[in-house]
Amino acid sequence: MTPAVYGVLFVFLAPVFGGLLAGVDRRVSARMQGRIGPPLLQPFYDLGKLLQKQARQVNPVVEPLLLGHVFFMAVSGVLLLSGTDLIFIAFVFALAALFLVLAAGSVNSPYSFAGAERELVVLLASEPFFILMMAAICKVTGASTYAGVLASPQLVAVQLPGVLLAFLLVATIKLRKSPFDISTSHHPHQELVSGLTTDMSGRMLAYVELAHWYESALLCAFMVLLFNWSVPLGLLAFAIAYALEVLVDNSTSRAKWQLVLRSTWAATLVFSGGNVLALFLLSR
Amino acid sequence: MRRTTIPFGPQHPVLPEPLVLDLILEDEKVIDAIPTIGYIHRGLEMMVERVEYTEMGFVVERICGICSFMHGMGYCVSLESIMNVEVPERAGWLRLIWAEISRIQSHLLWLGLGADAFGFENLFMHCWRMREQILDIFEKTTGGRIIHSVNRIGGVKRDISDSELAAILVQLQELGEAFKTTARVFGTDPSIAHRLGGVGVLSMEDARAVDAVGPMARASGIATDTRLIGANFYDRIELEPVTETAGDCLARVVVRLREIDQSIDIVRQAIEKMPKGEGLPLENKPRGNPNGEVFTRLEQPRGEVLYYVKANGTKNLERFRARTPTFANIPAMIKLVKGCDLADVPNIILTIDPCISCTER
Amino acid sequence: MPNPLKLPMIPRALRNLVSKPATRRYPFEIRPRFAGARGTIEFDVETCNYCMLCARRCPAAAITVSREERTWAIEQLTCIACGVCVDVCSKHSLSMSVNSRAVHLRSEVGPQGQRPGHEEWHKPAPAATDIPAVAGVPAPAASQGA
Repeated sequence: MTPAVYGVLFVFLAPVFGGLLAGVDRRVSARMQGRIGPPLLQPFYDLGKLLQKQARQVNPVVEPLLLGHVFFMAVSGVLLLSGTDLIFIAFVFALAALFLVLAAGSVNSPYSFAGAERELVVLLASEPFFILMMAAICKVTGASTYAGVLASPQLVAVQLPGVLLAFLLVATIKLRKSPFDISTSHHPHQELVSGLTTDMSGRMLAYVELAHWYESALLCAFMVLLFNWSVPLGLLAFAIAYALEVLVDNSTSRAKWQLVLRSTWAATLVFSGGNVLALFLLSR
Repeated sequence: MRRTTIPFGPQHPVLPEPLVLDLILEDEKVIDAIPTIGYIHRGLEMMVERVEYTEMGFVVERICGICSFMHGMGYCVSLESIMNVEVPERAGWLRLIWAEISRIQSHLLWLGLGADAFGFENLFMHCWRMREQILDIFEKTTGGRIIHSVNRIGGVKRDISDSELAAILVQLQELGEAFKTTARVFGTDPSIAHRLGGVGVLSMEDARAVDAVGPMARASGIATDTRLIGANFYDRIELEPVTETAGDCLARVVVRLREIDQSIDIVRQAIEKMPKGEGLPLENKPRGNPNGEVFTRLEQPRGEVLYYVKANGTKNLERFRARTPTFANIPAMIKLVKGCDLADVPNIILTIDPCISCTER
Repeated sequence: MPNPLKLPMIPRALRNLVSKPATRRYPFEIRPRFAGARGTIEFDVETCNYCMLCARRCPAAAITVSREERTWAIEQLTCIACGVCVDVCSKHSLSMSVNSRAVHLRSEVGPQGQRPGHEEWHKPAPAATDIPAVAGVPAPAASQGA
C-alpha cells in the first residue's frame, strides 16, 4: 500500500479509533469511580444525537471555523501518514487547534472567551514541545517522514526518554485530562461552565467531538513515532500511557492554569531540552 | 488593562442555584464582586397568612432540600415555646439524632460538591456514595429521603425502635470508619492542597467583623456553635466545637470532615442517654391557638439559623421569618472573592456551603 | 509541601476497578422501597363518610371533597405526601403506600384539560332503607383522568 492509501484510511478509521477509545475511557473511568458506566459505543450514540439536534449558531463564523478545526485535524493525520515532513505536521496540528480557539473566541459568552484564552495558554505550553519533539525525532533517526522514522533501526524512545516523559505530560493536556483539563472538559466544567464549548450545541459540538477523536488518533500516531520498531509496539505503549492518564485523571483535581503552563514548560525545557542537549553533546 | 465582567450565575454548574455574582476581572484576577439574590423568592414566609399554623411546618421544611429536618424542627421548637408545650423526652432525643444525621448528610453532600468544584470527580462519587447510605437511613426511619415530615408541634410523628437505633449506630460507625480513607484523600492529596491550601483566607478578626457563622467561623478559629446554648437536649451532650486556625478553604473542608466524626459521636451519646422502651409518649398535642412571639436559634450544618415567629391567637401566624446561615455568610464570601483568581472563585463560594433557596425562601 | 507524585486516590481507584460497582442498572434493577416510606396516598371509597377533614388539613390543597356530589378527588402531582390526611382520617379510609407516584408526560394533558395524576372516586348515596354495602359487590371503579 502506498502512503497515500494510509492517509485516506486515516480519515475514515481515526474517528472509529478515537470514539472507541473514548468509550473505553468512560467505561474504565466509571469503574474507577465505582460506577457501572455507559455502554462501550456510547460516544457514537452521543455523536449521532448531537448531529440530530437543532444547532443554534451564535454567529455565522463558528461553523466554518469548527469545520476548519476538524478538517485540519484530519489533514495533519493524512499528511503524517502520507509522508510529509514531520516538523510541518507539528505546525498543521497547531493550526487545527487554533481554529478551535478562534471559534470559541468569536462568540460573546465570557465563559467561552475565558476558555479560549486558556486554550491559547495551553497551546503556548504544548506547541513548542511538539516542534522540539519532531525535530529531535528527525535528528535521532535521520529521517524526516513517518515511513522513514518507522524504517529506522534506532528505537527513538530509548534515545529520547526525556522527550517521552514530556510527551506524557503534554498528552494530558491534549487529551483534556485532569489535572490539566483547564480549558474544557467532558464533565460539566465548574469554573467556566463548559469553557470553550459553552456556546456550541448540536452539530457544532459534534464537530468538536469528532476533531477530538482525530486528535487522539494523532497522539497515538505520535506515540508510534516514539516506539518506531513496530506499530503494535507503539499501540501498546499508547494503551499503557492512556491507562495511566485515566488513572491520574481519576486521582487528581484540576490544576490552575499557571501551574499547567509552568510545569509543561519546565518539562519541555528540562526533560526534552536536556535530552536533546545530551544527545548533541554525546554525538560530538 | 481591560476589565471583563463575568456573570457568575444565575445558572452555573458549580452552584445549581441562582446566585448572581458579577465578577469584575482584570486578566484572571477578581477585583470586585457584586452579589444579587432574589431569583427564586417563593414567598414561603407570606404563606403563614394562608396556611394554618399546624400545617405550616411542612411548608417551612421545604425551605431547603438539605437541612429540611432542621427547618421543620426550628419551626416546631418556636411554636412549642410560644404555646408552652413540653416535648416528651424520647421525642426530643429522636429530634437530636435526626438533626445530627442530617448534619452528616449535609456535610457529605457539600464535600462531594466541593470535590466536584475543583475537578476531582472520583472523590465526589465517594462522598455521595456514603451520603446515599445516610439517605437510606432517613428513608427507613422517617419515610422520606429528603423531606422527612416527622416533626410535629409538640413532638415527633414516628418512633425508631431501640434495636433499629442500635443498628443505625453500628452502621454510622462503620460508615465513619470507611470514610476515613476518603477523608485522608482530602487531607493529603497534593492537587487538593494546590487548589485549596492558602486560598480564600479569612482571618479570625475578619470573620468576627463580617459575622461569619457555622463552619466558616470555626475554620477561622472562632469557637462558636449554637448547639452550645444547650437547648433541645444538647445540654446533655458532651460537645466541643471543631475549630481550625488556618481560615483557608482547606481548613473549612477539614472542619466539616471532623464534624462528621463529631456528629456520629453525638448520635452515639444520644442513643446511650435516651429513655429506652416501646410505646413511650412522642407527642404532647398543643391546645388552642398560639399567641406571642419568639426567637429560636439552631445550629444547622451551615451555621446558625434564626427563626422569628409572631402569633396573634388565630389559626394563622402573624409573622414568620427565618434568617438562614448562608445569608449570614454572604458578606464573608464577598470579602474572600475580592482579589482572588478566577479559578479560585468556585472553591471560595462553595466553601461557605451556599444554599440560595434557604436564603431567599 | 506534600509530595506531588504521591496521590492517595490511586490505590482507591485501582481497588474500585476490580471490585463490584456501587451503582445499579436503574430501570432494569430497582431497589424496593423501605417499609414505611412515604409514597402515594391510597383511598378506600367504601369507608369514607365525606367529613372533609382531609381536604381542610391538606397543606398543599391537593384533596377536594364534595359532600353533595359524594366525590373524593386527589391531585397526586400536587400531593406532598406529608401524611396529615392519613393521620386525621377518623374512618381510616386513607393510607400511605410505599409506591412512589407515577411519572406523567405532558402529552397526557388532554384537549379537555385532563389533569395527569388526578384521581377521583364517587360513591352513590345509599338507598333510603340505608342498607350497608354488601361484601362481594365490586366497588365503583375509580375513574382516572376523568
